[in-house]
Amino acid sequence: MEIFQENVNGVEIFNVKGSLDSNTSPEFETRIYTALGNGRKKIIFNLENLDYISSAGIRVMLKTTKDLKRQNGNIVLCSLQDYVREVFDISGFDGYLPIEKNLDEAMLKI
Amino acid sequence: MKLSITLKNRLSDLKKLKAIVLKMSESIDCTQRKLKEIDLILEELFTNMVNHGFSDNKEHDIDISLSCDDTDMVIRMEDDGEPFDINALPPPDIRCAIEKRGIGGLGIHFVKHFIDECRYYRKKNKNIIIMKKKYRG
Repeated sequence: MEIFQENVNGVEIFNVKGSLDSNTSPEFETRIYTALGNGRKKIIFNLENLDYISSAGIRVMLKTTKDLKRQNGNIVLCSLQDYVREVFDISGFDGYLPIEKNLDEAMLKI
Repeated sequence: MKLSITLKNRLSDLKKLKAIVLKMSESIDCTQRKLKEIDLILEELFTNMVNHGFSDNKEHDIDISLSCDDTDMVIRMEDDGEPFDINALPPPDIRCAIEKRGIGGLGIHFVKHFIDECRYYRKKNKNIIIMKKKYRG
């Protein structure tokens, strides 16, 4: 897993590449909560290059979504590959946050 | 084609499990998509057992084998952990409000979603799970 982080107009964008599994998700969680600790309240997960996710990765995203909603923050997902989309769908994520086709639409939504 | 591996009940052994899935993929005609589903099934089964299957703090063996014919993969997992009937576990409530939503319990839900057949039985204080996954055709 690799994470390329950027901040655009106050929106923290996490470009996640590779695999979010039980071994890599703890680092992902640390990176997110460092950003939240620095006061970031608008987050986009750009998953264009994310090839694989397991329940460990979903768990981090669910936790982040719950915590950000509590703080009136905003979170949007975009550019999910087919396999990743199916895993999010069977987790019920579409009921909790917007899932956009690409980064431009995610920036409009947030 | 059959591959077997004995893992210990520690998360770092997940790498070995992923390595044998990759090795199996070199011998069968399987799409990347199906390979990811198989990878997920095995990761969730294994990590669920590591995280919830043992109440003593001792080292345990988890035996996993993969057998393939031209269309199906049979996955077998055997361990001496707490009784765990995968078929008896109720599905998580994925449509409840976010405030009430738990963050766990999804792994086995994913396994059931991506697997085609699943049998569980207990024999001589061991859990035995046998699953079939169609990977082609």
